[in-house]
Amino acid sequence: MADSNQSSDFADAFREDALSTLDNWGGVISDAKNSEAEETYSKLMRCAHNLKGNAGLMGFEQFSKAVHRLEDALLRLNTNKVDPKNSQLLTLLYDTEAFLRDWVILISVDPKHVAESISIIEKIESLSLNPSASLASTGAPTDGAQSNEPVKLDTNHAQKNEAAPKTDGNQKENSKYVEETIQLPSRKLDNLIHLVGELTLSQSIVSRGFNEGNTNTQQVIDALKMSEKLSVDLRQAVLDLRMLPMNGLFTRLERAASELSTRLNKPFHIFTTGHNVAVDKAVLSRIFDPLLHMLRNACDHGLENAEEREKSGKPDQGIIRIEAAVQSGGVSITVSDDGRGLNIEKIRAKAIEKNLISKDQNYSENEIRSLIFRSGFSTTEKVTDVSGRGVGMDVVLREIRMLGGQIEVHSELGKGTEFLITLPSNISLVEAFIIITNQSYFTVPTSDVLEIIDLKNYEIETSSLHKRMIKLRDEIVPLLPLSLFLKFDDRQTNLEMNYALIVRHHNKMIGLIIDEVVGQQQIFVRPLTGLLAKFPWISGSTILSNGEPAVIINAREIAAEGASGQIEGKKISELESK
Amino acid sequence: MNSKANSNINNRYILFRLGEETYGTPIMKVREVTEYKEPKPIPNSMNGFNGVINLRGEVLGVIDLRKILNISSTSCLSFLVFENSGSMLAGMVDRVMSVIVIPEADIEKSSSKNSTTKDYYLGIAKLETGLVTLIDLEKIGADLNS
Repeated sequence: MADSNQSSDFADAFREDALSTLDNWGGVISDAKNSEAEETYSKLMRCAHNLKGNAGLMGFEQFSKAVHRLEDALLRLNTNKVDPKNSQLLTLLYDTEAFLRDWVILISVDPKHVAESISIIEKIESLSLNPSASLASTGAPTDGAQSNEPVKLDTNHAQKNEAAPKTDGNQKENSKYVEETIQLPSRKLDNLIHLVGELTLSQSIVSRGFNEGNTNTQQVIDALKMSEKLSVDLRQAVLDLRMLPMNGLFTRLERAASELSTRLNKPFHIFTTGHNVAVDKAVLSRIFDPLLHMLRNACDHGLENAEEREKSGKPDQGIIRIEAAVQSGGVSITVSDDGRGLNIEKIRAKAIEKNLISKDQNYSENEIRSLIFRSGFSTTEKVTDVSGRGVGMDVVLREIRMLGGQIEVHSELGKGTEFLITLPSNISLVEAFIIITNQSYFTVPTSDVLEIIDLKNYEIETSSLHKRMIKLRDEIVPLLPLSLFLKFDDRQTNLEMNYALIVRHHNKMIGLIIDEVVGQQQIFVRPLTGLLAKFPWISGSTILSNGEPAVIINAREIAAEGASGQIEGKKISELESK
Repeated sequence: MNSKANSNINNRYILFRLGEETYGTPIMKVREVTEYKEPKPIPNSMNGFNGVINLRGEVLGVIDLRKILNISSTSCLSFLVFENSGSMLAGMVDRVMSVIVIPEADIEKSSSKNSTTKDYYLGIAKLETGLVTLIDLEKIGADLNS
């Protein structure tokens, strides 16, 4: 890990970050015409703040000062209620984007780069200090209090006006700016296009076979086999699109570490390895907070101060390592420090005090250590600025479990602590309801459900066609107990009529009666394989935040079958009367 | 173990208890042994399938070997985790006893294709402590799959 290498990695990360912030900036300006002034300003200020912070961390003083002035100017413009739709101001803001973009690129290549002039920012500044004067007339602004080059400002404006229609055209495309985006190497996209091309070819061979009424030729059989293989490849390639390397995350953690080190006045080394390990984007965005929390803990509680370290014969600067590696079926991330280690006795005493364990029982050291993951456990008395903001390791554990991963702790007193996280690598995140029926938990993707209604508020009617039905906004909705579909051998199905999931099948709505709605959360979907893939109505499995497995039910498929009045060939009316 | 000339990995077996009897299965086929935990039942599943467990973030199906092999027993302490057509299954056993080497010569291969036992048996091993029935977890899994 050569130093120069690392600093150029930092510069790369800064550039990436700053350019994407400037993309946002551009998006906000394009959207300004359709937004409230205050919103526009607050978004711009956030962008500026972001840039300032990142530049500050990199030590780009001139840049961060200039952006600081920009931020102040934006604040003043907001307070003075200067309309950001004003074309003169808009032009300046556009120019600022271009100006900062160039600066970011220059400075990330050469950290010593000094900008000769920041006149654009000065212009915005002068505008903010004296808005009425500068904006009084549309054409020539009279010289504002600090404006040095009012004339040039005007020409600039005129020039930009010519280009205005073009920007207007872009506006619509830019308005969906906040959408989640993903960057990927074009190689991945090319691969997809290639696969789709081959698949189309195979498919056309098969359709020709059908059209000619001769499907039993070697050519058709080969094409079918080929398309089978291609669709597997395609699936893999599509899943692979969401896989991103860890390096961005590591950069952010390293930055946070250097900030922590300054704030706590505790110099330490941080080493990260496994920058190229790829994980799902959803995992990547959710794992940052838990890792940051562990980093804070390691720094604040784990590492001793220099004096203490010297006494125990350690080098005066502590070491924190964050290491990612690929392992079978997923990735592992280790966060370790060479600090004081977990004090078993202290943890035991604390746990007894907090009534988490009983005094007389014997626990293994491992069991004691894992108590730090229990909610309501925190060993530091005082809440420091750095760690202990009410989130503890229990939150970390919960987050990691939700990602389908798990966490272990190893520690030796006086030597250090190590947290080992293992995560699955290919998963997808879905918003789902957690419901109870037949005394079991199930999950249903929210996208499958139109709404959930409380049956207490509806009158349940009977007709010749439906045993139970309700009127929902003038539409007749037949009700079916979900428990009819999800049967257990050893359980009596008793029907409670509490809630109904309203699911659409074609243009009909069907209500599936359930006992209870427990909540709504994001779940990680794992595909079912082998034996598990054989059971009807189940589309996947997941692990709930309490660590229990639960299956995801396919409500649409159930609704379709329900609409046909049959379950696996048996009449629903007969099944219900049993 | 190293004293025996023919002790390669292929003739090592894991012995476990099901009801009154001791059974064995090739250790190569067992990925791990893990502590029993209550499986969550899955609706519409077949007899012998007891539900799913969360094993370190993976959702595994649990099969009841006692039910499948028609053995009555009430206590279950362990799972034998084994691979089954690309996914993992956990087989419930009363308890795991030991890992031993059984030379091929000591195994009497089951030759008669008895229809009731469905080919789950690899054979019977004669040990000093008694007879041990060797079963084929893969076959059981495959059978459930079909």
